[in-house]
Amino acid sequence: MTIRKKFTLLLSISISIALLIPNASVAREQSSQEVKSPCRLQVGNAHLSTNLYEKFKTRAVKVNASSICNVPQSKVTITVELWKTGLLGNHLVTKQTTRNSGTTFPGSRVNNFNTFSKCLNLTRTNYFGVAYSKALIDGKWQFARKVLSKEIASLNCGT
Amino acid sequence: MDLDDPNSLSPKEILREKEVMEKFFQLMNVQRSRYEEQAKSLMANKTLRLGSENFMLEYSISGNRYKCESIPDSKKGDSFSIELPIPDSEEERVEALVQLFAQSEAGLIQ
Repeated sequence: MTIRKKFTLLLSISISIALLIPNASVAREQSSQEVKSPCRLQVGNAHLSTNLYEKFKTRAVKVNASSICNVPQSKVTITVELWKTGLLGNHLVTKQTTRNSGTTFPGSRVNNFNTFSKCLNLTRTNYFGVAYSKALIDGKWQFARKVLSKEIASLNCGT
Repeated sequence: MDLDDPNSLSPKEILREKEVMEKFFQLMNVQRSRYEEQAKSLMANKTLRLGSENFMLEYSISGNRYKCESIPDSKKGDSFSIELPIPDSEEERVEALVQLFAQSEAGLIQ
């Protein structure tokens, strides 16, 4: 084998190794990303409060959110925003943050069910909810990314 | 868990939700004149602190938002905050603040 051939062979082996290393690291990253988060934050669709309508014949638009973990979580803070759509962009209707001081058992739910706004008239309006949260899990703060309602709800409720 | 399915809520959760909504509406009506006075005070002074049994409620005007912060007596207590955008007209502003006062006091139900 000539020196030139030896050099070409070594070069191709080096390139192959160099290409394999990042692939392995990407695979490790993908594998860690596939590990399911121990917590889930969910925000429901905006809806009219049936309680208020049944008892007082008045309307309020409401959105609920919950955080559930399969590990103990403490100091859970859940922020829920109620938004309405508009011609020039979306408008915040109300924002409510609940801070739970205790620790919850695995599988138990922490709720923010207090985000609502009274309807001022019957104007058809489109609403959706946004929620985000943080909690102390295993001594570290974990932040849940913003989640949105599955659907935009069109309700006879002007705010 | 499906928050859009009322059947997925526990009886305790349903009861609490009902209590908060009913209390809110009752307060809006029964305490309206007090809330309107509080609204004038908040708009004039930009801050307002109100004490209740186990909480302090702190209202403020910051940027284009009305804000309410509940401050529990004990560091171990749960707390909440509410924010509303400030409406354009004077009438709407008073109504927004009446709603904020009622909502924050109803939120104290544990």
